[in-house]
Amino acid sequence: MRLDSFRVGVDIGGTFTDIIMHGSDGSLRQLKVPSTPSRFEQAIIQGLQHLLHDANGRPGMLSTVTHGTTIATNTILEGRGAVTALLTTQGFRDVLELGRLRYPVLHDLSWEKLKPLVPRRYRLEVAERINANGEIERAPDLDQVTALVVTLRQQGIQSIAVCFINSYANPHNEKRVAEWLRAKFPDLHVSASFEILPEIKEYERTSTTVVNAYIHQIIDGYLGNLERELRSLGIECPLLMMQSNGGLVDAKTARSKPVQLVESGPAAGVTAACFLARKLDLPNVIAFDMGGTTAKASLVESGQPFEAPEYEVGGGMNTRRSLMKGNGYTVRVPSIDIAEVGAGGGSVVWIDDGNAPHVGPHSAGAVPGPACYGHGGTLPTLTDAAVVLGFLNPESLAGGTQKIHQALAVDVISKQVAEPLHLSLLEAAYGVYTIAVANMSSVIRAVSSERGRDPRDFVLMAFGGAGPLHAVEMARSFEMPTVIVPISPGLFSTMGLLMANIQYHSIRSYAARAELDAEVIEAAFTDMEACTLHDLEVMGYRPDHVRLGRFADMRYAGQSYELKIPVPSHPLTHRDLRQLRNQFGLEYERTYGHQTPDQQTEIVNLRLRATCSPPDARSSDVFGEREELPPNTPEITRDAYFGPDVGVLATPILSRWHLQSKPRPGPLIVEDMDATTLVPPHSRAYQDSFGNIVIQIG
Amino acid sequence: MAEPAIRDPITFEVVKNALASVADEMAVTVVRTAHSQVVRDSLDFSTAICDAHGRLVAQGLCLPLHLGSIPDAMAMLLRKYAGDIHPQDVFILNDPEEGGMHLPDIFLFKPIFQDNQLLGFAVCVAHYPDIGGRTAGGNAVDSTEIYQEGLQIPLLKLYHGGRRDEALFSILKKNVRIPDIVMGDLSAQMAACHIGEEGYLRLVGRYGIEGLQNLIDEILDYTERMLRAELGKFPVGTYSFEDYIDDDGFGSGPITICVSLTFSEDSLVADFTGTSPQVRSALNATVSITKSAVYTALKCVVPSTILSNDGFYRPIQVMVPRGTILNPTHPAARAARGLTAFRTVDTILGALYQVLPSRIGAAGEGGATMISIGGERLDDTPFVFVDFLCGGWGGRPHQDGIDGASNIAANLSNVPVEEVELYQPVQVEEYGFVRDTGGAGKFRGCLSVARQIRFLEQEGILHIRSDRRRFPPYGLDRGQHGTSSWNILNPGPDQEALPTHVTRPIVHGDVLRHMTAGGGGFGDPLHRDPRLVLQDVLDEKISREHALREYGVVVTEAFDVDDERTLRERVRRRAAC
Repeated sequence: MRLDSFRVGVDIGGTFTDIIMHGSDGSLRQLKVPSTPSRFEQAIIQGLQHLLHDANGRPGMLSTVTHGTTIATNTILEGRGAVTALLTTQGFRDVLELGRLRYPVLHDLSWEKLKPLVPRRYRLEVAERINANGEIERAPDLDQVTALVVTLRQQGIQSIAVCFINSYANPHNEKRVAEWLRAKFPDLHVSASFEILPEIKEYERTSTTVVNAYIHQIIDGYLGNLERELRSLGIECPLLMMQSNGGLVDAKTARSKPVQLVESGPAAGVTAACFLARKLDLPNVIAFDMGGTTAKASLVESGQPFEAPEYEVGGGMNTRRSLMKGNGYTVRVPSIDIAEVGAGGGSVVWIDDGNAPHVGPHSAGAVPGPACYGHGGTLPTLTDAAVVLGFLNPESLAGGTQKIHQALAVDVISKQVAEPLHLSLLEAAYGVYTIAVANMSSVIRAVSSERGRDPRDFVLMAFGGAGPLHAVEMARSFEMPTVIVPISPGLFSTMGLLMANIQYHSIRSYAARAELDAEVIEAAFTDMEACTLHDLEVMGYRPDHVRLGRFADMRYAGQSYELKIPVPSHPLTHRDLRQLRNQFGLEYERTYGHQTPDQQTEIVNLRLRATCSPPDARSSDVFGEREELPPNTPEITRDAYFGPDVGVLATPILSRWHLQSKPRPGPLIVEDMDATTLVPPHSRAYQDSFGNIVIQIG
Repeated sequence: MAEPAIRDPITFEVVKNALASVADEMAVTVVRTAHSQVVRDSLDFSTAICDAHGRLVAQGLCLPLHLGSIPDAMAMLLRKYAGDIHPQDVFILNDPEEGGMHLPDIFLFKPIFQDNQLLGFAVCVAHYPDIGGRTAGGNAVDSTEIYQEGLQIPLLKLYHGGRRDEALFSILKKNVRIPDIVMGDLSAQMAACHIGEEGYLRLVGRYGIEGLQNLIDEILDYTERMLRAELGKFPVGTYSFEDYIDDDGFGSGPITICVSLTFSEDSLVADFTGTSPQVRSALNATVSITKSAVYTALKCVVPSTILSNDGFYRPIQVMVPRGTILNPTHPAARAARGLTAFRTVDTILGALYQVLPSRIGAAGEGGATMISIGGERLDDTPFVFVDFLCGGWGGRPHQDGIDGASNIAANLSNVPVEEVELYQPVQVEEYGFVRDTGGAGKFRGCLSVARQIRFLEQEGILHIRSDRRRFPPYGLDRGQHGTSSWNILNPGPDQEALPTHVTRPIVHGDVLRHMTAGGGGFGDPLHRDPRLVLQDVLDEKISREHALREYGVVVTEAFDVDDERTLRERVRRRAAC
């Protein structure tokens, strides 16, 4: 195939910016450069120039730039957002600060509630009211609004959020105020809740709208700069942004609804897993992504990710557990359901007063890192244990760029773990490894059994720097039969950017109390579809290339958690609604183990999803068939310890390309540039025609 | 440090976490499948796994006040049904005389069997939005006998070897006002027990019956050892404290809760001698919830690695004289025992402050206020509106209190205003903080939270359970107490102040305003950083006048601190006292 175009994926993290460039000839170039936090776009521009030069390409050959970023999250974590104000209904100034009242940890007398993003002095009330039926009881006095905002401007307000009670039922008052403000104060950003999240529950809607207003300036400025710089380099192709739900939107939409980018970073890895699952025709996959500080898991069914309706940002670990509220700023935007636990290569091992060992959640971080890195780390970590066990190369990692000091690892594990526990060095190190695997099982459980899925029906797809080292034991503990380690596991997430589809979502609130009315629902969907198709056509996507999906958020009357149920796309009839109720019942039973057919069901929201392929998608297949020759080095072995039942075994060390299509029994250690895969005894590994390592257990 | 008594520390750690996650999984199941707002949004339920001896092994804890709720009920089951526990049985209970707490709390127990051998129990207790009785919601304070409070369910089999007891189901259904929701919550509890059973059997499958039981024994012993070691760090001695409930609603006058905590080398005795006799109204508690209060307070001051299980109970002895409000005799009414339990926690924390002055803060709002309105709509369908109103936390030794947080003893949530308005015949007119209400201190107590609702149906019966008017939340270390709580009917020129406990009819258009008590302050208000006082003024959490009166801080009209005048004012006041 000719090399006449490139697709580019850019993933910005706080420390590193990863760029990959995929040519129409199948070539793949990648670059990791330090991020440039004062002007993030600089690292991208320099990296792109470097890669283009390397490929002898021209800027005009880029067909799309797809971008995932943690900038939105970091803006919140670091408190760098705009000085933001909030207009509320009279009587509801404190909705944002009250929140849902719950604390994330029981019995913690020193708990500190997060400060609201808008302090009370900038939360002002407007005399207006819509009732629960959507009737206007009192229209806003726009002169009063003007007076409030003039004062706020004098106090330095840059951005303003508007969220009125019951605006989900009728946005009229909110809309009037927002339009008025935009006309009157054109340089002021206004986020109105009916545009950001037209859903019931005032706190969740307010918080989401406030987050949008708070990060708007930074994201808008950054993306504006990036677009300008790209153009000045001669790159005219579309800039597409990865949203929290794994879909792409154009930069313009992202700039107006930046709240949808908050979980942009981790979404790309799951997108890659979805793509590979479809490619390999695997209906049931759990994606497992483990790095230096956290381990994440998510469910991929029929090549599709599982969505979570809301999450909290800025408060540490997110297991998406409904019981763990109160730990961050609530953002109610559909995102890929990712369970997270503080367990990674850098997790610190410690012994409590009762002499029981623990691993994490504290991490040695990038600095000083594990003791064996020799950067001054003095605490034992999971990586140190893996070095002691012989799982990791005792001299260097990452193709020689990270030196390993085995003696330091032995020292910390023996003095700080083995001695206090009265265990031998190897037993202690293996114990650390076992506990880490057990800790991480909580994320697998959160996305499988807690969702009514039996993990034994799933394939574990492991990536991230540390995922492939722990995956087989994880899988074994859940009796999962197969583990797949894709090529370049460390860069797998970034590759997800090249595989994502364009996705636009719209949502309408449906009065939950009302009887289900097929005509009303059909009219709402038809209207949403027309609006969406029109918007997409303006952006250059032909309606016949757009796939539309209808969904309804349903629940039993009186519940407050909904399930998202697909709705047929043909004109709805009464019979379809009956069918819909049945489907809800089945999904409910699948998730919770029982259903109550005589109980009334209700629809809370109608959702529309529009998807289409990005331009030049033909070259998106990064995971093509491939065959590389193994490095011409003699096969060596290393002693590795596989627990008290097995003991120390001389374990062959090889590269992924040494593996054949015929399964080879473990123990084996497969060393890639960016990750090490452990194939323990009682499992077998082979290489499939795409270069993936496939491990069969048992 | 003691020699390690753990045989296999690795398996130990793995199983300890696995048991906890089985109980957690049960809890998640309840939240996601429950039908009533009380269970779902207030998390007023708990789940647990017990072993074959009925000892609590792991608790999926949602409500701290449930910490000691399960052992007494579990013990009763084993006594009453010795030899008559079979596979696929399910037991039900709400009777306080048999280990229940108050009638709205329904317990479900599912024995776990393998090959006809009893291995343990999956347990779930949840607060129901209605249990029949003379008032909707089953929370009325002014009941005088348990017979008025609803359906009493002694420990019975709801399922006999997998077969539903239709009689029991139909009695239950017939006696509650909202049978659909009650049945929905019952199936949520069933689902949770089922999940617990499956999870426990998975562990049995992996470690064997005996292997798992040995590990459980070790886990319980480990918890006991950890707690004893921790108790050994406390100074030996006896520390007493008293706190008060305003009134029982029938004019009893102040009700005293009195505790003496005696720490010896590795154990604790909590003696409630000196507590007032049982009362005529429904404020009477149970020994089990009083134990829970002790455990809750203690858990706040020991490391979080010490788990909630049977081992935790062993070093603690709780003595509650019979006939007191904390251990009443039949047929005492108990529906409003939550309030008494909140005050018991305040009392124990007050005693612990004397042992740990740098760890314990001043009193918070005093526990959630309960407001309920019940009645029938014009179309004769019944409605039951139950709302719990939380305030926040008192000032702490190194931090301000928290404005807007659930009490440390009950991790409640609020029901969204928009959902209240959608489902209930009320409109919410205000929900927010009240200025100048937090107890002054170097670290300020929380502000009062006001909720004002307008009633939209023709008529209904209003119940309020509140407190902390005569005895507002205490301050510590020279911190001031917070403001009192209030119930106001139809605020305005003709407003009526209602008592703390109310049962009365209301009609269309009536407006009820409740203000929770403000939290107590910690430390001398004259030592509060003037910048923090200014921040509170700017946020309109306190007024300029309040800043001067309570803190001696002069805030100018331009909203700056006048440092010089502040200094003079503070020097003058210190000299005066």
